[in-house]
Amino acid sequence: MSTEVESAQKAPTPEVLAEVEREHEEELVTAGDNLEALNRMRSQFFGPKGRITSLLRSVGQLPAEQRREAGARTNQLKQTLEAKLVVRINALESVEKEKELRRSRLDLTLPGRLAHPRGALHPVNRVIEEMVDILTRMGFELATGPEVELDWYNFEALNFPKDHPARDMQDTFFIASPDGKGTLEHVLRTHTSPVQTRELERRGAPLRIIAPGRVYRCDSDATHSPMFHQIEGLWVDEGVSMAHLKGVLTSFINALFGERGVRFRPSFFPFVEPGVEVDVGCVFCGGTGCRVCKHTGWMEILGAGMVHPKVLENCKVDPERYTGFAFGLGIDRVAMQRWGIDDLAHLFRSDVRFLSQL
Amino acid sequence: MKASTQWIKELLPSLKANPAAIERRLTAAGLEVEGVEREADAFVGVVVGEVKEVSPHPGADQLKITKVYDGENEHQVVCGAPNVEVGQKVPFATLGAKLPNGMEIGRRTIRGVESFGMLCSAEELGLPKDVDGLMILKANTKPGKPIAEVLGKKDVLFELSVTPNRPDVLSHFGLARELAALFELEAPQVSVKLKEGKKAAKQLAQVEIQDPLRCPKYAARVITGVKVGPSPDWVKARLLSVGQRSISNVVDATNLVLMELGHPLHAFDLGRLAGQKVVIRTASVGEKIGLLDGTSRDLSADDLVIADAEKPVALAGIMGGANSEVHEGTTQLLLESAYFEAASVRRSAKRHGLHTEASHRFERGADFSMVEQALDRVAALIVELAGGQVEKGRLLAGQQEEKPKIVGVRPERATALIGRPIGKKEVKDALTALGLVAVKPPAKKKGTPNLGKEALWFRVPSHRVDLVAEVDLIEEVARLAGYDQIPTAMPPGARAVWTKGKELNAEQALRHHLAGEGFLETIALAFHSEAEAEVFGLELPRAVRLANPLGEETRLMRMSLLPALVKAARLNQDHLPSLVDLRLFELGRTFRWAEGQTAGLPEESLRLGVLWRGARQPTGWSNKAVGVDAYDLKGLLEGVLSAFGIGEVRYEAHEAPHLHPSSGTRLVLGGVVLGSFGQLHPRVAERLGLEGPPVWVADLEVSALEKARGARPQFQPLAKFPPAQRDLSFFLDRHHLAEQVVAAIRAASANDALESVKIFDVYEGQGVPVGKKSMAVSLVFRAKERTLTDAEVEGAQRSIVAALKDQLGAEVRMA
Ligand SMILES: [Zn+2]
Repeated sequence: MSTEVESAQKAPTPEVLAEVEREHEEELVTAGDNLEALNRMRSQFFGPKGRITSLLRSVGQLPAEQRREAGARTNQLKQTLEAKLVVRINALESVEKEKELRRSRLDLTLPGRLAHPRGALHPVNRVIEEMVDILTRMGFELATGPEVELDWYNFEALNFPKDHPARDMQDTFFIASPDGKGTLEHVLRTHTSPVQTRELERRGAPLRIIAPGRVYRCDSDATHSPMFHQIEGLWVDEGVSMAHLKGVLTSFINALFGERGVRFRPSFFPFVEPGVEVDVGCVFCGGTGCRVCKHTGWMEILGAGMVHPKVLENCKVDPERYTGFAFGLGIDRVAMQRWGIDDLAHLFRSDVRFLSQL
Repeated sequence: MKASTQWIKELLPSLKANPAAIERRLTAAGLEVEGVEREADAFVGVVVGEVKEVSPHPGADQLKITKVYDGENEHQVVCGAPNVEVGQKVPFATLGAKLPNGMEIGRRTIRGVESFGMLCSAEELGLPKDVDGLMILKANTKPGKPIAEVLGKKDVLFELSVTPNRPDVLSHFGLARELAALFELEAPQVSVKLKEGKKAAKQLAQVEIQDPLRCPKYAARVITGVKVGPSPDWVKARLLSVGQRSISNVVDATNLVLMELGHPLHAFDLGRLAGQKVVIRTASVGEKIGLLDGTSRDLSADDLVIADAEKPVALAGIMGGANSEVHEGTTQLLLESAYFEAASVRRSAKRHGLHTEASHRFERGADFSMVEQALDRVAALIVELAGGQVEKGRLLAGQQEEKPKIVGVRPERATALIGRPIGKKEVKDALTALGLVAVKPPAKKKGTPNLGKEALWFRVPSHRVDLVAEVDLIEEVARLAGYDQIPTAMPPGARAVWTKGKELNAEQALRHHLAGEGFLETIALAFHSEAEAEVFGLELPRAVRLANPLGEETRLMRMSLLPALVKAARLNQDHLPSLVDLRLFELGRTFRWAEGQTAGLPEESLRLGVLWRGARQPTGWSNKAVGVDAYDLKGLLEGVLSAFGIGEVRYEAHEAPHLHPSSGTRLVLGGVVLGSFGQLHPRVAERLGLEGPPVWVADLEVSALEKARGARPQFQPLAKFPPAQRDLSFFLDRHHLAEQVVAAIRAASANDALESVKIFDVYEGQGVPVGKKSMAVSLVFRAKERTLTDAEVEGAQRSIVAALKDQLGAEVRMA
């Protein structure tokens, strides 16, 4: 208190101001990072009764000719010294605030709160979507057909005559008549190929379709399910040759499995001629041979061929003008291979422990 | 079919390729080799051992301790064979060997004495038994030599997957013929040296065909003075190598020739044929036959049989009868070699559930001109194996020659179809190599395709039943060169923009929507059992039934997706008892006959099934489980509908056997039912063994959703003026529905710029009069062109309050 009284009596001569500045410096050093001391200093120097405030007030007591200069001098010192102090105070205050924020740190190693569990598409449908995506980009259109099918579309029109051993290649479910007294000309489609005959008959040529879907065989064991999935492809136009079959299927298989080699072998399916079996380089051993591929380095992946002229005729398409190729492949096995699923039965059992893994 | 490469090479001595090369060539030509078996593999680790010492076993009288020399070292082996003697050369299975019967040889201690290997009997090596005890090898055999070499076991056997169009390769001769073409060798020929006796066969037996359509050709021979007995070892071994059992020398001869030439044959005991004749006819209803497999069959009028003067003695092309079977006392044989029509054999075989080596071949198509050759071959072989005399001449019935099959092929058509240049020469060379014979173009007549002047014409040999049209010949040309000769090219570009089908689009959208809401997609077998259908109250009379189900579970095609989903809930409850939170869905078809439908296809409906039970949200440290209720499920469905742009759906109370009456609801849009949802009826849950929280299910028809899909929404200008919000709270009778409240409010403010109505509170209980409920709504008013004045908003609100009071008796408590 005594200093304030003293200084109030002193005029702000350069000597007095230099003295004040020196004291300010000293106190600043003493206060260091102590925010409290700095704030106290602020009121000691710049408060209503502070040293510098008093000096400014005493300017008025000076003779008129000295006031201006002394006022300017004092004011400048006030600005310089106060700015120095405030910078220090602000810096320390923001550090304090930051510390305060840090104290509210959360434990984010705790699990998050889910709006809902993770859903998942069935692996078979994921493969179907992928295949459809590739094939539609190649110019195929999606088509569907009934699963309860007439013998004509499933067999006869596809050049499987009645009483022909080719029918033994596919164990067939037959449909009982609604009164239960006999068997109808209806079957559960054994393959997706009847979509070929239906669409060819309905829309004629040219035609490019793919048809994924469920198919049924009267067969159930470790490697067979009475229901499984296939995708069918059909491309009929003028001037379509077996080279085109190879082109389309090679790009399809490469897109699906990566470029690991494709092999075309003669085979037999009644609705194509020539018939083709297509192998892809074994995805398990890369072609060097393993148990899965029976040491051949190849995995049988699809059946194909040039549409048999009789099939075209059966569907009222002129086989002299139009040719085409067809292919069909099993989807479930691709899904099993893709996710390393060892048992076909998992696919159709709806076990959450299985479905939520993939 | 199992094929021996050694046998093939005996029939085609010019074939020098090794088995691996043969395998590759066959597979590349469409005769897929599915498995390869090396005879020697069955004897790995078994070598010739020389018995150096034999001493008694201290612990057992029947056992002996031997020292066996394997060419390098001596091993102590405990042996139980009675015939073991010093100096013998015997098969010695060393440690690590695996015998054909599956036995693995390891170090063992037998009654306290260590044994390092095993001395083998013939049986233990899978060979015909010769003597009791050890198999004794020739004295000069070198110890240490692999036993496979000593026994000449160097054959390589193929498991061939023969497609049903190629009966001609179901034999070793057929394979040899195919390989000759594939390796550009001279085609093999069947050669038979047959010495005939003096007596004319005609005097000993007669054959007669009564059904020439189903049996166009029948040939037979008579052998007298045979002696039926066991076959020699080479015959037994050969049959065994291709998976056949030895029966007797005569039967073995027919089987061996079947495996060699591919033509089914049968030997009758001529002495047991009444009237010494065979008649090929259809059976009469009521006739029976006892077959060689020991079964007795009732015959139908569609069964073709071989009969003697009195009774059927064989089911034609399928199996012989027990009553004419060759047995030990048989001395006279009637050998049959015939051509039966394929479909006829197949129908009978299917009817009687029989599948034999013979029926397998006849069903696929026999070789018309092999009939006589196979007959002579088997006659010669029987005389070789069983003695006797082949009597003079064949007994023949039916036509001798098949109508020649002439097929034309245009090289330019082959070029267009295969996609690489194929010239006349290639066509001719390839087809000639396969046994086709070039002929002059046939005279034009009805039925022959007009292929123009450039076509080449061929006579197809009788064994290639699969070659009937131009495209078949084109395939042969492509196949012979290999498909790797065909270039890989993309077809001419697209000519139109293709789109996905609408239903498939909808299916995919739904699948992704539900997976995004945390649901797991399932695929279930599309069948029901009757019991399931009954529990769910499905309309059984309209079920699509399988005529040949695999069992109870596959009796019906499914009529609803829900039973499988509920079963899945049950299964998951079993596997993880604590896991009752479950979100599942399936997209699939259901099947049913229309009311009174008698023709055409049953209805197939693509549906979405949803099952939800347990918590609304995954629980954790920060939130407790809140059970799913009807409004969660409804919210899910509203989300689905909004994704389809479907707005004004009515939610009507719905009674269904599988739904709880408190919540069963159906979705109706303009009179069309889109689906239904609600809590699974507790009765159903209980019958299926579900425990724990309620199960919520929904079922939507995908095509109805797709049809109801709203128009693409159009952009609306953003509102320029501020909204005014007012809340109303009122009591009303509890039976009034939310939709009535909203309808009353909307109707009362038709012209008053009411933008939205939202119910934000519904409450019953303390503070609310009995029989009433409290409801609170939030109203937002807004005009397009100006700011609404307070007075306008008040006015609109007043008319709403009045309408609620007049129409629903609502007492407004707060405004
Ligand atoms: Zn492999």
